[in-house]
Amino acid sequence: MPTLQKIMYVEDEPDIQTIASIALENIGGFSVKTCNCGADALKQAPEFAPDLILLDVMMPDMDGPTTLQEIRKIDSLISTPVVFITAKAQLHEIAQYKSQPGVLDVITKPFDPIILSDTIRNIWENYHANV
Amino acid sequence: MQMSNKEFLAQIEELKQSYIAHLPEKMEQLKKLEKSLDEDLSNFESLKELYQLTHKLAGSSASFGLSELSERAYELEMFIKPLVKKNEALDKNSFEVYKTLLNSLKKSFSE
Repeated sequence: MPTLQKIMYVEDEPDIQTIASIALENIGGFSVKTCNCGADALKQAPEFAPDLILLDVMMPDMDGPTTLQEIRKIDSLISTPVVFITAKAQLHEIAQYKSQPGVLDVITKPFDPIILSDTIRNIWENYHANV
Repeated sequence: MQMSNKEFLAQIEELKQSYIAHLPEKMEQLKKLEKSLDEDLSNFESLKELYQLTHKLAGSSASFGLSELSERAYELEMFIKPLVKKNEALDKNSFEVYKTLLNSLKKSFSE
């Protein structure tokens, strides 16, 4: 199974960004790069080369699903695993995206920061156990 | 270096306090949008901004366990959402509902 070390988190809400990155870095021991928007993610992802991308669904300008489409156009990110993060309000809209290649799962906000890293590790392990 | 759950919770508590300290700014934004909608119901840009703001508020406040604020913001978000998705402005009927929801959201700021 590939190691999960580098996580990119694309989220426009700074407070949630902060909580998540503290949780992922300090509880999970991951290295985390946060991006404020889809365009930022497209710029930073090739160099950071994340093992996993966490993608917020509802963002102004470029939403999560559109960001994913653009990410897939970059050769080095063509199969990078993605987990969508969504508010409960958007959950029913995301079912259709879950079937896309490389989309491992959907996490709903608000998440419990204490268990976020374990949740992500479980998703990662389940995905690779089934591949 | 990984920190213990206790250290982590202390850090989250600190973030929560800083989040609460910045709530009045969000309240000001809310009032500004309310004013612009009061002046012109058909101001779709303000309605869209209000949708974004309530969506963010609902999500971020819930992350800090501020459930009352989150629920009220979510109600308003869900009320505005179909209008924004259909590119519709507020009309006189929906304006009354919007007012009620906005007032209970404003009240929840102080709780």
